[in-house]
Amino acid sequence: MTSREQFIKTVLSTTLFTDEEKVKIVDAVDSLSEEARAKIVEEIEGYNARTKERVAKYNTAVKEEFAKYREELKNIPEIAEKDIDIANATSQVLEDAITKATSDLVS
Amino acid sequence: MTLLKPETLEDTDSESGQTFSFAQETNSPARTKPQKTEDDIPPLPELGAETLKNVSEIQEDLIVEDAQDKQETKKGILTHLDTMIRGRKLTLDRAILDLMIALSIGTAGAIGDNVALFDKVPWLGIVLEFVSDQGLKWVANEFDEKVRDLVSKVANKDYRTNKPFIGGTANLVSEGIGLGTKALVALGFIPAGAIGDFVNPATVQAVLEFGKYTPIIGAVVERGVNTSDKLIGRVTGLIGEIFGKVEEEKPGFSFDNFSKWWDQKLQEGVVFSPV
Repeated sequence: MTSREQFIKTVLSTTLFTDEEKVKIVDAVDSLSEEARAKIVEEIEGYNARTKERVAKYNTAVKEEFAKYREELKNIPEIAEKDIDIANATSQVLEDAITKATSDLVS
Repeated sequence: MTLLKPETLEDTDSESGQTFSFAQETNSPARTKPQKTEDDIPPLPELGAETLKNVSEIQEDLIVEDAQDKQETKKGILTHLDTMIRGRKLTLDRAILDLMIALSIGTAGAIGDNVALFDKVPWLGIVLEFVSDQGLKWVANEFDEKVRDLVSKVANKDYRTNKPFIGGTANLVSEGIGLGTKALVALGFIPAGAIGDFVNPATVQAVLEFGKYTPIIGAVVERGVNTSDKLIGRVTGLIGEIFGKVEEEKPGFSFDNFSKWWDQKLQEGVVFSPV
């Protein structure tokens, strides 16, 4: 893959830009020097890495919220065990869905 | 509220002989076993709602943080391009300029620092921050004679420094769709920089539609703390002069035509509000 193709692939696959911005960047690809492309790729890769870290951090926080919820359930003796099981299962489904949604927000 | 225990009653249909059961509520203390009240049992949905509220806040924080990062990263890219263009390592052609404008929308201030450059394109914007004299010095130092001459043709000289400039002011531009903005945009000027708050897609569109036919340099002088009201009045007058000049140099162009176009954009729902 040429550096030109690699550049376009990097631009198209990041969530940094809107579709309109991507079009403009691709339109300008031949006007951009190698150095300019390299600088842009560097910025994109930096953003991608930070995004990954950010999503991981926020998903950890989400998981902690649900863990706290399940822990609270355990401490309420008045709730029947089967209800707790249902609540746990439901919350797990929610947790998975929200975690995925959190990741999707920036992907 | 006390939970009530149903009392069961029975009745028999006289024709079919079928027995029916009925539940009757009673709150007789003597016949009711001690029960937990509803207040004693935290309902599941409430617990879940609290969790979901917290999770929702986490997601909102993520969105805000991501948006800020996007903005900063794009500004970083613009800065790289700007540095290379200024260092003559990159030629500012139409495609790169369009790219820079695209990346600048929504990032107030970024356009001013990056878009308005040199004589590589037929229309330019020069952005000055006029909080001090720095902006004028910058024009004097950074732009070559050709550019300065062009500026001189359409503007008088700054009354304090005797340096040429064309200016609008934050006040004029803040009218949003007023004379100041119309005039500046019609001149091929890109409102930006310190007045980046007023940059919006409609303005950029106007620049693209009109600016390319308007090889006139525009500069924005932001009204800063050291700028006098006298200058504001002076700039207002300048815009009038400049428009006259544009009408002279551009057959077919008129402020009225431009004004109609601008108003039409408004009617089409183009957003002119600050980004």
